Amino acid sequence: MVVNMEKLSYISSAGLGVLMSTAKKLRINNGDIKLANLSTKIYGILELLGFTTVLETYKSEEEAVNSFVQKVKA
Amino acid sequence: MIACKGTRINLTIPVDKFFLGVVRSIVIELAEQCGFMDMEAGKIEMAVDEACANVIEHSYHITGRPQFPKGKEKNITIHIFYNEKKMAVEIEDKGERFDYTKYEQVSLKKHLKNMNARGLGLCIIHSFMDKVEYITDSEGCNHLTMIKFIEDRKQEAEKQRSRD
Repeated sequence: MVVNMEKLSYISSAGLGVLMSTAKKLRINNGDIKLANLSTKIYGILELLGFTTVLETYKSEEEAVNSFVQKVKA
Repeated sequence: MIACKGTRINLTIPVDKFFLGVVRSIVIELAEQCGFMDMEAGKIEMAVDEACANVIEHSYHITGRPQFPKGKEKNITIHIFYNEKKMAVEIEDKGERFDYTKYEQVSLKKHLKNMNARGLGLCIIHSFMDKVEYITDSEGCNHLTMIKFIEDRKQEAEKQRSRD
């Protein structure tokens, strides 16, 4: 799953919780969640809280989608 | 109520998450005026948002848009104080008291390790603010006070600049 966060200006703990529980569910089934197009502010908050260590982030939606393709090829 | 010399702003909002965006806009604007840099102002914004959301959800048990009978609307009052040294925000509500004795502080690291968001809001408040206090007064009013000192931030920024 790729989440394009381009239009996101704020994220609360509830939003972070949704990302975490979604990642948890997807990983059980060998899937994953990738975040794309994060603003500097949102990336900063995620980084501060340590979320960038457990959730992959990409500069663009295309890069995020390609990361799945590369995983399948590997 | 916080004893603090400086500018004081009081904001009263209905117990409704719809108004949290307004609160965040005011808090971040004031934090920046106060001298906090981008990310530090963002920390105060998030701590206040989480505190208000906790009041709505856990003190008043409201999910979704509330519908109070006319004349029985409930409010949250946000007192913001700031001067050249600090910014203090006090969230006041008359909902159910939060029992801090039952609160087990879980580190951010543990939240991430277990991929568990339960209690993340309080964890964020404690991580992002320098001082956090919670009391219930004799009239049953709950007060959550959060303080962030600006002096330390300026010193940190200066240290960072000298390192760069």
